[in-house]
Amino acid sequence: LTVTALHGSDTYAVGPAGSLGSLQLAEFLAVVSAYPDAESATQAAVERAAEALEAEVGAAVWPDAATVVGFPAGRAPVAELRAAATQRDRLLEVPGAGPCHIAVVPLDTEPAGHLLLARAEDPFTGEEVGLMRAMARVLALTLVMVGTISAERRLRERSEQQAEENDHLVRTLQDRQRLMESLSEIERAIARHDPIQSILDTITTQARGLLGADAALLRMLDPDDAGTLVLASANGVAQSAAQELARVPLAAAEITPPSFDRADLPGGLCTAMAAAVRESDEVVGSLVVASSRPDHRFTPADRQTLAAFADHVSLAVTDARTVQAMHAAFHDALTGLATRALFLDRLAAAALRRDRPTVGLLFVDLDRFKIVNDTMGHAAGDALLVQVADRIRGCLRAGDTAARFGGDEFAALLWGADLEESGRVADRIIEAVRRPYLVNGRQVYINASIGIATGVAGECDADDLLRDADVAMYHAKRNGKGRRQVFEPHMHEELIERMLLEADLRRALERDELVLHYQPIISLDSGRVTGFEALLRWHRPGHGLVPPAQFVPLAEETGLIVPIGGWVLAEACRQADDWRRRFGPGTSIEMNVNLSARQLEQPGLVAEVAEVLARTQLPPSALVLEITETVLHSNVEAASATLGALKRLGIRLALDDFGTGYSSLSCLQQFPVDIIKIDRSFVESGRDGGRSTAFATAIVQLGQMLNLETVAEGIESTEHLDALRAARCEVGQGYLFSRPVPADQAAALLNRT
Amino acid sequence: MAVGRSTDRDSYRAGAAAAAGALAHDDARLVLVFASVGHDPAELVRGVTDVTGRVPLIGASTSGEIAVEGPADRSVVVTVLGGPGFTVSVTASIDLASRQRAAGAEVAAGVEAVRGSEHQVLLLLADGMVGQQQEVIRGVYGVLGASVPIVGGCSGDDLRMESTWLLHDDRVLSNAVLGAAIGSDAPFGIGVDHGWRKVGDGLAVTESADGRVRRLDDEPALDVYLGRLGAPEAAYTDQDEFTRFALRHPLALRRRGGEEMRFIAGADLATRELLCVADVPAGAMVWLTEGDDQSVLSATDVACRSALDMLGDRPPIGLLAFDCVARRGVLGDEGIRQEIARIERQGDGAAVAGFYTYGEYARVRGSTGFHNQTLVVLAVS
Repeated sequence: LTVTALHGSDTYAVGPAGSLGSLQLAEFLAVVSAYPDAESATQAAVERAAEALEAEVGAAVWPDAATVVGFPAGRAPVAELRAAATQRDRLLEVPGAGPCHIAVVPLDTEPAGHLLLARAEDPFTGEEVGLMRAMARVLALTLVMVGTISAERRLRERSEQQAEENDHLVRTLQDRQRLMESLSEIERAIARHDPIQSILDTITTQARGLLGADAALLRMLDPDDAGTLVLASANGVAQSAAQELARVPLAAAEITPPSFDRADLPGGLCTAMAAAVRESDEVVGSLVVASSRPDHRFTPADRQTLAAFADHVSLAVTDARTVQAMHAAFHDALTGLATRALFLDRLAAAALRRDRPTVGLLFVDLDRFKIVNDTMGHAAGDALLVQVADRIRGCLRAGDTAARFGGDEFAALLWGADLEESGRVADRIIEAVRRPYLVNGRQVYINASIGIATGVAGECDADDLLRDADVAMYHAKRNGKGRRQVFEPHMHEELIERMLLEADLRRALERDELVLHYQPIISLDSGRVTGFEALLRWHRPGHGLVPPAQFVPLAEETGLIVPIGGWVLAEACRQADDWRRRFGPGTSIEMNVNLSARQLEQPGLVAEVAEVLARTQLPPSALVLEITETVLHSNVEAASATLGALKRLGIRLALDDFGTGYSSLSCLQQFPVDIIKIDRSFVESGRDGGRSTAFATAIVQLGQMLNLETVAEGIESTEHLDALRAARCEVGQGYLFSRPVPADQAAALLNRT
Repeated sequence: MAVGRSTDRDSYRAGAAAAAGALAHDDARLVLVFASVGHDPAELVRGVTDVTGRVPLIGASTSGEIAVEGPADRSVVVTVLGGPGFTVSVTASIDLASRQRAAGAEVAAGVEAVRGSEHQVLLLLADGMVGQQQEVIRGVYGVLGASVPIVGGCSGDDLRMESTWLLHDDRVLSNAVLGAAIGSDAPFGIGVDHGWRKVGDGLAVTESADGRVRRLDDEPALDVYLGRLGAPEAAYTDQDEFTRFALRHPLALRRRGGEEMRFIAGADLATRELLCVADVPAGAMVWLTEGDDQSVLSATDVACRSALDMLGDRPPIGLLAFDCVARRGVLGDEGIRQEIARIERQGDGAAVAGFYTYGEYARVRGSTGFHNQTLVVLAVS
């Protein structure tokens, strides 16, 4: 499907079937019904049907006659076409076109015939066959009416004075004109995509009026019960009576008089007839007209008219479904914004347009959305996205397009906007997104990070523009979130560097480039080593030893932290066990290993830890897993359960960077923590007139009250050490004692103690 | 296939010189003459036939001639198709305007004479001032069915829109259609593309009759057309300005296999209707379009490639281009030089001839095949 809309956020073109079918039928109807005789009407019908469906062959065949196009004149294989009309699963060999697919629909004439089309390469779709069926109906109607008119005309010629018959001729002609106008009106309504209910109501109204009936009812398949038809539209029936008619069995879909009796009709109506509504050969509904006059007789021509209306119900329903499918394909179901596909199409069109000098593109990513989604649930996340989408839409100018790319990523296409104008729109979006939201009765705050790229229309490439805006957004996010960033070419280099880093990091594990360094944890009283914290280093080829700050965030972001973290755990445990064996089982050395948020989310974490302990034979009590409090906020319940299970293995848990989060105390209460690690910022006293030291003291006292061990981090001077000793902190680590060192040097430290 | 050209102002001399340049073979089977409407057609054809003798001839006045040396005006381009592999039958049908369909059927009958050849094509040249050319295709298709592809173009008069002429052997005709049924032992290829981009959403033709598009989406067609395309003020009130604008913004008529372009020849400023040369039926879906030199030029490559692809691994001996004059309007003089250079490049040494037309014929699939504002290329192998 080609989406061709260039303006507006909610316009789109429809697919090849649906409304095109109704338009083609309108064209067909106008042409065929204009012919005064059966022969030329049939010829035109066959030609136009073939043209409408781009078929090579068109044929109307009866047992005693045939009209064929697509073969050299006089050489049409009529017998073969007649056979093909009844044996459908075959190909027709057409000179110049090769083997052709066949589609056949009945022609409801006397005698019965078939309309047949044959097309090279593409088989016919169900919708195309539906269109053919409607065309065949129009042709049959035309032939019946042309027959009636010529009969009347002959009669009239015999007896010019017979005024009554004269009137009849005029009436017949008028009826035909009214029917064609009425069908055209319905087709136009379908083409305009009028609301489906209004189209169905028009059909029942027109059918009732044109057939001189007192009531018209349309029943369609119950979507929940394929054996039952339910009322979809009624005309000339009181509301109470319509209720009575609400449900009938599917078998009643197509019944002709006189077998159609009062059984399915409300009071007062006695003569009726019904035509089936079909979609791809399946009966999906029934159109009924009924009269309250016992002497009313519906004629065969009336039956065909009703069938034509029933075909139009099918067209309308198919079209509505197509429009709905198109809308679904190109609009995000949750927010109603354009999808990525539609957006890209419009962006490509905008990039080509020369009548507007520039095009602006905003790439919008929400900050903190994941936290809301994880803590409040997906339904709340969805509700929030809907509100965000509305706000973004509200910030755009007329004609701009907003899209949701999935997750919490949005984009906006700004027609004719330069950098300045794009910046203004981005500011409006940031301001709008920043305002508080009410979700499930709670106030929620999020931010938007926006990347901006602009291009010169007619010169820029849509893909490049999108990539630039994406890169700029990434920079905005890294620079502090809730801000906008205009794309600059150097960002690409940084992005490429980052991609190289990621590629190397992925290979680092298998190439044995990762290594652990160990920083001793010291008893502040005795100076003895009580344990080590395992810290990751990377020997990146060509770059030397890379500190964790340069690659751990990327590993977190990409999920590589999970395998890497697993390796760290196993290696640290192996090393600890090795030392225990070397320095005697009595050596009480603890190994501290950091656990990332991603690892904590892994369902297999507890089993993995248990497996490592079993394999290395390290006593669980010798392992300390360090967790930062931000890790614990993302999903409190799950984290609590995992930590509980880890504790049951016998290992101990340390809360890292304690004091830096806003809910440190509640963490102590919520999670089964054994050790508090005092953040280095409280250890580096002096700069703030002793407040930090006071804080460190308070943390130590808190630990004592809660029976938790406290470990001070970042001890770099004897002043730090003295202050901590004074605060009665028992254990610590820092450069004053040792930097993190390779395993052999760590072993030497152990040796010394 | 060989091509000769002359820019001599004297029609007789021009015809003779171009024909002499094209007569590379002894066994010429068909002579095609594409010449400026400014030439005296009777003198021109006398000059050509004095060189080519009684070889079947068809020709047309143009809105610009195409040959390997590039485009030209006031020139004559003569193409001679010859060799033992070809058989040709030429037919003319007159009074086209009142009987397009019957005329189409008449020229199609000429194909019978070349039925013995393995490959056939029907080359049509029709008077570009006559409307309802789709009926010609219906007439042809009624006789040939899918068995023979159709290709060709409609004569022009340098956009004067007054009168054009056709040449059939030694006769000068107007209001006519000519058919050259060509049979060959090697395949033909036909490529079609236009290069116009759709603007905005599709519009339903809610009222239309006899080439007058009255309403689009139930609004006056002219206002919808000018408004949605952001036409300049002058196009609303000045007929010439409108025509200039419309030349670059044809309608795209929706078809299952793509679009058929429709040239808007004028507007009725009083009734707010669009006047089209070819049929734009009520109930059809159309798009407004725009084009620029790049989009139009890229269509040139597409049309040539698809024509050449149909030849399989056989090299082309010639390419005939039937190129809408409106595409020429968009490309400008420099653009059409580039366009013809592209055709030449695609042909890789094959002879190139053709002209700027008032309508193009191409039927390869299905049963329709009258185009506007389109490039049709016939590759001969």
